[in-house]
Amino acid sequence: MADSIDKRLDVCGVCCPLPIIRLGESIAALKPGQTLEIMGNDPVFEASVRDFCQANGHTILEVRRIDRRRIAMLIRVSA
Amino acid sequence: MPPVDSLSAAPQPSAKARRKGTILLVSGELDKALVAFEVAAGFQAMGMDMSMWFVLYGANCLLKPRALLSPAKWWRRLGAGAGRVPETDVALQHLVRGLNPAGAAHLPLSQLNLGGIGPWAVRRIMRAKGMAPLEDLIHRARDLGVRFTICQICVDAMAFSVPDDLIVQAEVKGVSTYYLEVAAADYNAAF
Repeated sequence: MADSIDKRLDVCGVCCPLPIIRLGESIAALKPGQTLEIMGNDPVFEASVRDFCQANGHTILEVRRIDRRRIAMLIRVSA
Repeated sequence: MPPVDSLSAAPQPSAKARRKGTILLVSGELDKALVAFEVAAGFQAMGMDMSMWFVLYGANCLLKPRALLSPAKWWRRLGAGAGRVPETDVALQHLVRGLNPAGAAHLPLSQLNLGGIGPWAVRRIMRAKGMAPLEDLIHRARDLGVRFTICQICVDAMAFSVPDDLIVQAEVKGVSTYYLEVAAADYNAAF
């Protein structure tokens, strides 16, 4: 499915609001239509990324649970 | 599908019309300053243009770190700088500057301060949990584009030298400018 991921971001080990801050910085450097995979293990990580994408119009393409804590989410940057 | 909540009714922000927010930090305590900067940096990252205002002890977290007995606090002239009126200075301002905690690393807690053991314990717990320390959050907020403004009368009364005493760039403005920002903002909070 995820044939070409333009950027990968690992925010495991930091907690709210740092995942959102790092995600915002990374997405600002990408062009519309590019994809970013972010992986985190904060208990509110998935909700944070969903809220971020909802507020900024980005699309969540895929959500994968890596293990008990870690979740990876694939995002397409909006126009 | 993302969960539907109250945000879904909000208009999608575009590059032209970003939502605005202001935060007024009055307190010089570590817990309140942390919340203020977490909200500011988090909201800025979510896409809101945040502006932080600092009055009275709220500006302590922006000062360069100085220990209580630092000569830079006690043996320096009350400096000039933006917003200062040195002609009306009084000697008591030396005492205020000397006793006032300077720097994000020297702020007390509002509860369970225990003579400095409380902030030390909070920092240790925060590090273990992967939370950003206050100094780091201040710099992240600045890098994200959060704007900082210090109240002019506080700068003058507490004898801050702007920009020499500060770790970040800040403007010195009055309540009329604060009013204009608050009236144009979607989110206003005071800590």
